[in-house]
Amino acid sequence: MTPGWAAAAFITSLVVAWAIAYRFLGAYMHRAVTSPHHLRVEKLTYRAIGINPDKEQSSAGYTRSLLALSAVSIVGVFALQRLQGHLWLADGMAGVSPRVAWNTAVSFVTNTNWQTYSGESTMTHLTQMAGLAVQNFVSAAVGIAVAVALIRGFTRRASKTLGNFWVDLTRIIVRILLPLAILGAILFLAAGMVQNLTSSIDVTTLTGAQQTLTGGPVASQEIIKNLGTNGGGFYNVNSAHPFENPNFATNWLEIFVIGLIPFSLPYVFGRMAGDRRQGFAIVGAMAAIAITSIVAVNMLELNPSGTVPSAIGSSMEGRETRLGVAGSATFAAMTTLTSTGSVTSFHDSYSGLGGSVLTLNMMLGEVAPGGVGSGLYGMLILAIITVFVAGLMVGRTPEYLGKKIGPREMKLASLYFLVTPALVLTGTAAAISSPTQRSAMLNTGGHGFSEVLYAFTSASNNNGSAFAGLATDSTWWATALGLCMALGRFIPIVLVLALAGRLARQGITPQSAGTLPTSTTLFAGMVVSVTLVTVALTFLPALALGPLAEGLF
Amino acid sequence: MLDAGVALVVEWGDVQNIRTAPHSFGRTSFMADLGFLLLTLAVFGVLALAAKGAERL
Amino acid sequence: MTTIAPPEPHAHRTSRRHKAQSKMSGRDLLAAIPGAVRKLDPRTMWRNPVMLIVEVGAAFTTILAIADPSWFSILITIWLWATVLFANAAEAVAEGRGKAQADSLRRNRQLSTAYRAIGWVAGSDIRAVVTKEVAATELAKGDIVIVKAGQAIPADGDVIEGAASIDESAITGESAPVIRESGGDRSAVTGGTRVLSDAIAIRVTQAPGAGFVDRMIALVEGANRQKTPNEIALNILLAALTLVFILVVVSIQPMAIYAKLTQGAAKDSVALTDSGLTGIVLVALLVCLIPTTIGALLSAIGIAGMDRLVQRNVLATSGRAVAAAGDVSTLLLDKTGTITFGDRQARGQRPAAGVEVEDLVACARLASLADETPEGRSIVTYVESQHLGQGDSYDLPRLRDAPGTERGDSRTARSARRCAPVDRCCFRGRVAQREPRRWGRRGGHRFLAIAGDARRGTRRR
Repeated sequence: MTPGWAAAAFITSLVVAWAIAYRFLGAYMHRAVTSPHHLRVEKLTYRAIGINPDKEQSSAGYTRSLLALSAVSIVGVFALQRLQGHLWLADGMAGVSPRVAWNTAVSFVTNTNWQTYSGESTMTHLTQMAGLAVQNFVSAAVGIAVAVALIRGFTRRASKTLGNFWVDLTRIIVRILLPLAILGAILFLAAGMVQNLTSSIDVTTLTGAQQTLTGGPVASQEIIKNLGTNGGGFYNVNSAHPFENPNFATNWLEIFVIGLIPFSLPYVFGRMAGDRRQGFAIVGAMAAIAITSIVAVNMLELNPSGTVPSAIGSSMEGRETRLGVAGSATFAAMTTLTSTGSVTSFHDSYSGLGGSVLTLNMMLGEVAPGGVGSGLYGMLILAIITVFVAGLMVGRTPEYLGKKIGPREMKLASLYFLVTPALVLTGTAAAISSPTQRSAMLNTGGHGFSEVLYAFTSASNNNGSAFAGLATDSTWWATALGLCMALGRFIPIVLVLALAGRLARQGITPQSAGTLPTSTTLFAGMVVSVTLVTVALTFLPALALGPLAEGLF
Repeated sequence: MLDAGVALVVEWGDVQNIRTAPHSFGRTSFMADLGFLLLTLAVFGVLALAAKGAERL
Repeated sequence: MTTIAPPEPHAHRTSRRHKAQSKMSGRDLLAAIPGAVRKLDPRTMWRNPVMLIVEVGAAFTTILAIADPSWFSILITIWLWATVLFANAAEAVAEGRGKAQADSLRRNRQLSTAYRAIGWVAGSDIRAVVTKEVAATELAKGDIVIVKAGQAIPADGDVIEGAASIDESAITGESAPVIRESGGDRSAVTGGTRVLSDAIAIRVTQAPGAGFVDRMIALVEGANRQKTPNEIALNILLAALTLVFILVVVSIQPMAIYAKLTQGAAKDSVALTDSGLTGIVLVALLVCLIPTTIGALLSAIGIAGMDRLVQRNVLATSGRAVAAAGDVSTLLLDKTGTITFGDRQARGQRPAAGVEVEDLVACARLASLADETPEGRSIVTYVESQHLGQGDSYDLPRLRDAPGTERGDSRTARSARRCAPVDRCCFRGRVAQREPRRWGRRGGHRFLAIAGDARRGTRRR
């Protein structure tokens, strides 16, 4: 079997698995989120926190709870890292330096998981488990909760409330994330991943040298890293490490798990809206972009054009031999399409055009399929903009699912659309214009520029992968990227919740002959076009100076 | 297999150049810690204002 | 949504005016150029942020072109100014069309004289009061005017003494005269209506410039144009896109400087030098990226929307009305519809396929015998003058004494039901909907559909 066919089979098997999951996991998630019964565990939690689970919050209250939780989380994880030297399971490590601690805290709370540190030598087991792994669950749940709140905005009529943030959070963690994580971790363990709490071991290698191997609770971290589209691995080299991604099967599983919830949430959208075809349209748009991108990266990497790859026969620089080019390429594409950011290979080593596709995937705003929750609400905002533009073309009042898209809704949607380009372009320009910051680059010229652009794109879109030539542990870089992550995550959330509140307060206009149908292929195609055109127009100049310049010449 | 994987890991670790200086909590780092805490407060203050503005929109 | 038709006594003029205004002549364009140049004032351009940016860019490139002239910079400058001027010209042309209609409205407005009362005290005798003749435009709010039978009321006001019957058909379309009297809730009168009998004293509540018809004129002229909700929302989207692209253009400068730095072999060109991209290229790039076309034409389109409605004698009083008018496919009006001058007279009859003229005429007469409105009476008069005398083959029940005939929409239906004893009366329901549309194209004539089936009582135009 040639590499091309193998890659095709690999991708097809993943698509089939996701399609099955869409239907069944989607139905399960819908039940979990909308059922009126509380489990005993949940009731205990509510009593412990001190909230009344049946009392719903307005969009303002929902936002406040979310921001409060995130602020406390950042401060908590920051403190944990700073004090880790004095706590249990320290294994001889001292506290983390302030700028790295802050950057890491922000990064994990915003679902980015950008790691300016080398995991196994900086974080104690306690920090990894109690700080970082917990935030992996919580940040993923926060994303899904916001998506569900937006869906409720569309489906509720003349309602002042959007649901209860704490109830949503608890339910998503208890009913969706934890069961899937436990199941997934067991599967990973069966496939050969490491899971222990021992301290590091010294071994003598085959060549006679001394190596220190660190073990740890890897499988439990891995599953939630991929399931919650977090991306923060246990080890520095993330999923390229043989303990984090031992073989082909775990690689397939990891890719599958990355796309699992993002591809299944649109089903919840369709089901809650009362029309499953709406969900199809959204997931169709997501899948169209995703599959095109995955195939493109695979093709570009399997047919390399540089001097070294042509000499060797394939572009193996920066790839793991046990995973191969196709496996790494698919993983890289999926990780940049969702806001995961875990890596099995070094994106810095991808061909010029391959690297630009990866960057473009992130620049799409992480909507195809995007991170857990954030992909769905990002895609719905784009759908709103599409409905608006299409409605104007046809000459009708724009409505989506019966809710009128008026000037105020457009204001919020337009602001959402503004945030990411503002952060990416401002940050990149700021970094590029100052020689001190430029010195962090490993390569010069177009490739070095790509490193900087990629870093800011990754941070603002809460992806967390890196081009990996950039040394970002200076104070300027840590602070700049941390700010991009925080603003890139929470400003859109604030806008989405305000929009959801506004939509929920509207009544539903019944469908008439003049309503634009939003469950058709045409609509899905228009959403894809609007996404590509707006992104291309915004980022093409920057791409042209970096990745494209490198790839075309 | 394990050895080859470990060898690659070590090599990449160097290329990465992402080793961080350990830093205990103490008087010398107090300003940095305070600075970051205040930065967090500032960011969330801005976000809270943005939330109120978005509601009023 | 309210739509009010401007009074228009001659039907034929509509179709001719239609054709005249739908094509834009070169003269329209030339006439609009001074207006376009006048609109270059930043205070006017401020309302359209996208074009304001293009104008600022054009000014900036003008300065750069003067400082460092070359074919490239001069051409770009000319092109940018042409863009701004074209946008303004489009808006000026659209407004110009509205002016033509407003002028015709002004001509229709009756410039009457008013008789201002001097020394009015409450309780004075209307007939004995001394009045001074003034032009209607000289009236101020609070003036007392005396209006006698046969005179037109000069301005909007309240009746403070006396009672009179007034013909308000020019404004409301109601053909029957109404009683207006002092005190109570029937005291408001509108300028332009005619007093038919008796005399009244009126206190002016709206100075003539702000009267009802004047507001209509202002709307048509576009002075108080309200933006449609879609236009407002689109403006927001355009503003967001413009912001993004300003960001793109501004941030590309450091990136370009760095790119030039690392590619030492690249030569300096008109676009790129060592200090980055030249200002002209940045402005040109910005103008290409921002939604210039939509921004330029949006206000012209808004005005044109209002204008198209006016061409069909429909006046939209709000932005939302213009948008709603695009969705309307069926218009349902009650008998006192506000589309006409208000005084319809029967002129002829058109039987539908399969219906005899005699049957139609018999039904029409029966249906309108008890109708007290001038329209109903005109139908009976017309029918009797044209057809009766061809023998007393018609059985004429005395409908005037029939119970249950009061004013109201169902009167037609109820009278029509009484047609049933006559054989093969009128036309079948469904036919009634197709045929009048065909007839209606001949313009100017109004058709009254008579239906023998009591279920269809709608009238069509």
